[in-house]
Formats: sequence, structure tokens, C-alpha cells
Amino acid sequence: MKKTVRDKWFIVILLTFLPLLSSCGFKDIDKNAFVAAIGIDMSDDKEKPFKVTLKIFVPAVSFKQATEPKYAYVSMEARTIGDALRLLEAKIERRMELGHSKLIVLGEDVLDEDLSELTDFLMRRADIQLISWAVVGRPNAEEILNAIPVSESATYPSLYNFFDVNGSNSPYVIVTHLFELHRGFIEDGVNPIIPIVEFSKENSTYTIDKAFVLLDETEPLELSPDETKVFNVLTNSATRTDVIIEDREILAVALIDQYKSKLKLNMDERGKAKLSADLEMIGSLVESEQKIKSGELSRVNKVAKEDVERTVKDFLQRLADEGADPLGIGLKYRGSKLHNEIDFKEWEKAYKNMEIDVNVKFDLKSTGATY
Amino acid sequence: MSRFYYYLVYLNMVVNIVASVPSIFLHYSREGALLGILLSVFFGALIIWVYTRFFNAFPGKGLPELLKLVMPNWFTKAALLYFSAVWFIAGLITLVTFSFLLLRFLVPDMPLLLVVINLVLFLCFGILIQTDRLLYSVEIVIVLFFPLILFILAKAGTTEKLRWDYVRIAVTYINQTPNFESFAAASFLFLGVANLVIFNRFFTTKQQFGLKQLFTVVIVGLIALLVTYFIPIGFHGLKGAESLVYPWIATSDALRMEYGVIERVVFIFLLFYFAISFISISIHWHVSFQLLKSTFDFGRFRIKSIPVMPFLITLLFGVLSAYATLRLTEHQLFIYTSFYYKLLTFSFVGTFALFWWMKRRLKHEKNSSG
Repeated sequence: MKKTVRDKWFIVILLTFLPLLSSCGFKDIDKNAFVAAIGIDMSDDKEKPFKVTLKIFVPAVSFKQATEPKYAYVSMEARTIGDALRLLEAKIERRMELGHSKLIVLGEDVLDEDLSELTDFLMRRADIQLISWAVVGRPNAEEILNAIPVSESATYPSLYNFFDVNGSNSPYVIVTHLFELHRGFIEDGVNPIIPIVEFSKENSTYTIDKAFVLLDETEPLELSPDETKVFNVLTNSATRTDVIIEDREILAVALIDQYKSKLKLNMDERGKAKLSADLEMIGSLVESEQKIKSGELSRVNKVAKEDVERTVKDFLQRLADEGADPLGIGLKYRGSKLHNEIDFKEWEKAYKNMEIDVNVKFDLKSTGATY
Repeated sequence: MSRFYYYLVYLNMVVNIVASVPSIFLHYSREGALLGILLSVFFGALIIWVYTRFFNAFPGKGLPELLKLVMPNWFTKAALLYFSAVWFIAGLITLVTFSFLLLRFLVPDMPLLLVVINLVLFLCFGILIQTDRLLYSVEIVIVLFFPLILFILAKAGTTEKLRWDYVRIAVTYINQTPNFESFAAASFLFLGVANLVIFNRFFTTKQQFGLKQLFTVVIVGLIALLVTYFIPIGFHGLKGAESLVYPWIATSDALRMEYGVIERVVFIFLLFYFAISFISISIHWHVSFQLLKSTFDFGRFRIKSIPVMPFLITLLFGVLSAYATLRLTEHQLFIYTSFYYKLLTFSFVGTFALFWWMKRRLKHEKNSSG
């Protein structure tokens, strides 16, 4: 008898907890405005220098109805980015949800401003993903956001596919996450690198094959497509790459599906720096003007080795001449000595005059499907 | 040792990743944190050795029972009250930190008070249930979540976005005078063993604990410390990590699971750590509650033959934690936590003396009675 009374009380207490299950001010999914990308430009107005553009997914009722991608665009000029977002909230009838945005597009003219302030804002907000991709939009962010290529599906913005490992495999695409950009700004010894996105209206396609190295004092340094590719190889971040092999007799293209690069820094007693890059590339031929027998591959290898060594050396030399360090060689220097023995001013000089030694091991496994 | 002993020890090592410990380390990363962390391993080893040996000598007996045997009544009461407060604060720190985290990342639109009340409601069960049952639930949580957390840590350690150059730069700061704040915070990782003051009641048989066991525990602790300190630096750089309020949340947000169901690791990470922190708070508050229970006679105050004191105590815990959560700012939390860890270091040195004294008295008692 006593037990049943207790059980009753237990149930009563449980029931009093029920209202808590109504959950916490959760807004229905259609009351949220999911932002697909954030664009930041500079405006002409001195009072309100920042122009923030948001690309917002427009939800479709059912998947079958959504035959084409639909987006809404809003933009606002304001004194700061945070201010602009606040003002934008008044323009959107739903709750602005930034947590699903995977892309941050900076206009080209934003790069002239103090970017560490900007990334600080983006880092500070808890809902903006630190793994969102940061890109530079050419000529400005708004145009890149407004662009919808023909190939875009209704479910996933096609610009995402370039940076997502599931999509594009292009060795020309540099992937920079927001947190990488931020750490590059605030730390001595590395300059952040950021890909450039262009959109051609005639072809309705994006082109992403160049990059900016952001420097502390001078204008950003633009890398050409070939340099961008070399950068991706040197950081081991391209899934595969290709090499054009060319001398007086041969013109061929090799696909490199396995490679490994190692950068090593040596400092001698007089403070002279020596950077050695060791590359190992394994692949096969995909194109050749001449017939190449498998026995002749060693000759092709030799030509390729020299070609790659020259390209990589030229690239590193250019970086050294410009004093740009997207590879973080300065970090290697800082890690090589106790912190109180570091003289960063000296290092900047040493970096510009460093000796560059490139060593490539090129190994073609096959001539492809034909000789 | 029994596997439950290891749960208690390892839980404390893992749970600290989300609490204030990493931010204390990183705050002093250029002022001698590294050496402080490394030195704490020796102190931690000493704590584990002393506590385990002491309680192993008296199987099935918690600290209150032993104190009552040999110490004057006033001393017992004062000491137990002090310990109870210490354990309550340990749980409180985790609770406040986690409430802030939940508010910031998971439920930004919910009032803070509601977050705390919800947490405390469920923590009541942890406080009030019997010691052995709490240990069983600890086991369930650990078995479910440790492998998943290990997976995330392994993922963090193998991502190419983690730059080891930053870690190497952090190591170049080794030639500095060790910093006491980070030493104290690092020692806290080894204090899981101190839960034996109550949980020793559960270990009724004498256990095997030698140098080999000590060595494993200390090595795991060292690895936990290094992971806690270096992984955020590898992701955010030395200066970047220094300025993070929740270094490990930002670190897990820098992780991406391309093929995962949820791409953004931070939410999975928060969910796993929610379980781990929850069980850790339960343990701390359970100890705190049991210590109070042994100090005062709870049975006297009854309504309809049901003792009311336990409910009043849990209510008190709830009110105190709601007050603390609403009142504290993140900066204050950081300062007070740092101070608490320092105080704890001295307290534990004090307990070594106490244990030595008690052991002598207990031996004497045994000899004279037998």
C-alpha cells in the first residue's frame, strides 16, 4: 500500500517536469534564414566603409519543386561588419542563421585594410564556422555571391564544391580556412595565402587558379596559376598534380598521383639560411607528342626532374625576393632556436638572401595505356 | 587496481579539456607554462602514489570513518567541511564553464538560468544515488564516450591543418622559470585519485598497486597534458591560442569531418563532452554531499519519516550554482579558478602530512587494541 502511494508521488513529480520538455525557444526551421555565404566589400562612403552582402538559401517546399537554385540577397553598408549584420537582421523577416555558411568572400579592395581586425570579428562570433573557407572575390565579393553558374544544383552551391574534398580535385585551388587566415595574420613567420575567385558571365563558370599572399606592409602578392599549383604541391595539399615535360625532343604531360614534399631549413653560424626542398613524385604519362617506350622512361624522368626543379626553385626565389612567406619558413626558423635567441629582423634579411636547393626524385611508373 | 579506480583517475584527466585548465596553460604559454606542466607530472605522481597507498591500506573505509577513529571531533568536522567545499567548487567550476559553453554554442536563445536549472535537476540524481550505482553509470558513460573522444583527438592530431611548426615554437619557450598557475592547473589533472576519500568505501578488498600501475597512470596523465596544451597551439598558433577563451572549442571547430554525418566537429565534441562533464560533476558533488553527510547527522531532521536534509543540501547546491553562474563573468571565472587550483596544491601538500599522521595513529591503535 505504502509503495503505491510513493509511486503516485513519483509520477506527480515527473509530470511537473513535463513543461521543461517544450524545449528551449526553438524556432521552426522555416523561421530561419540560412546564410550560404558572407561577402565583405568596401564601400565608397567614408562614414560606412564596410559593405556586407549575404547570400541566403530560399527554402523550397519540396525537393521536386526545387528545379533551380534560389537565393535571396541582402546587403548593407555600415561602420563595422557587426553593425551591418545587425542592420541586416531588420531586413530579413526570419532569424539570421550564420552557422551554416561555409564561405566568406572578401572583395579585392578589402585586402588593403587591416585584415586582422576583420578576421577577429569573424573569429569572435561563436556561430560563424572556423572551418568556413576564406576567398577573395574578383572584382568584388558581391559579384561572386550573385553569380549562379548553369551547373549549380538546387541543393548545394557549386562554389562550395571547389573547396570541399568531395568535389573538385584541381591542384590550382588553394583551400584556406578562416582560422588559418587568422593565425597567419597574428603570427610572425608566415604570411596568409588566400585563393582568388573569378566569375565569367559569358561562360557562366568560376575560375579559381590564382592566389594572393597577404603581406604585412606592402600590397598583396599575386601568384600565377602555375605558382599556385607549385604552392599546393609544396604544402602537400593537392590530391594530384600534373607536370609538363619539355625539352628539344620531348613534349609530354605526366599525371602525378603520389607525391611528397619536404621543406627543410638550415642556418649556418653566420646566420646564412639554406632552404632545401625535397620532392618525390610518382606518376604516369597521360600525353606525349612522341612515341615513348617504357625503356625510355628514365630519360623522360631526367628531363622532368630538371623541369620541376627549375619551376620550384623559381617559385621559391620569387617568394624570397618579395619577402613573402606563405609556406611558413619563418616558423621553421622560430622553431629551430630557443625563443630568446630569435632575432626576427635578422631573419627577414636572411630570408631574402637565402640559398635555395631543390631536389626532385621523379619516377614515372608507366607510359599510360599506350606507348 | 579495480577498473573503477581507473575510471575515476582518467575521467579527471579527460574532462579538463573543456574547463579552465587549457586556457590557464595557454595564457601563460610565453611565461613558463611548459615547464610548469612538466613539473606537475612529478607532483601528480606523488599525489597518486600517496593517496592510493593510503586508502589501499584501509579497504572499504572512506576518509570520514578514518578521521573519526583517530582525530578529535572538532578537527574531523572542520576538515570534512573544508573538503566538502573543495569538492563542491570543483564540480561548480565545470558546471559554470559548461553552462557558458552551452549558452554560447548550443542554445544561444535560452536564458542562462534555465540552462543551469536543467543541468542541476539531473545532477540531483547523481548526488543522491548510492555510491556504487554512481560508479556503474560512470562506467557506462566512459565506455560509450571515451572511444569517441579518442577518435576526435586522433583526428585532431593527424589533420594536416595542424601545423607542427607552431608546436615547435611553443617548445622553444622551455627555458623559462616554471609558472605556478599552470603547475597548479596541470596538477588538477592528477587529482581524480582524491575521489577515493569517499569512493574507497566501494573498494572493499585490498588492491594491487605498485610502480607499474603508477607508471601507466602517470604516462597517461602526461599525454593528456601534452595534448591539452599543444593541439590548440598547433591549430591556432602561439599568439592565436593565447587569446582564445575556450581553446578546445575553437580547436574542435577547426576540425572538419568531410565524410561525417555532421561536418562541423564542434557540435559532436560538445555533445561528447557534455556527457563527460556531467558525470564528472556528479562525482565531485557526490563526494561533497557524502562528506557533508558524514559531518552532520542527517537522520535527525525528518518529515513523515523521510529525511529532508539530502533534499535541502541538493537545493543549496542548486541555488549556489545558479547564483554563481549568473553572477560570474568569464574573466572572474578564469581568475577564481586559477586561484582555486593554487589553493588546492597547498591543500594537497597538507593532506600528505595529515595522512602520515593518521597512518601512525591508526597503526598505534591497531597495536594497542590487538
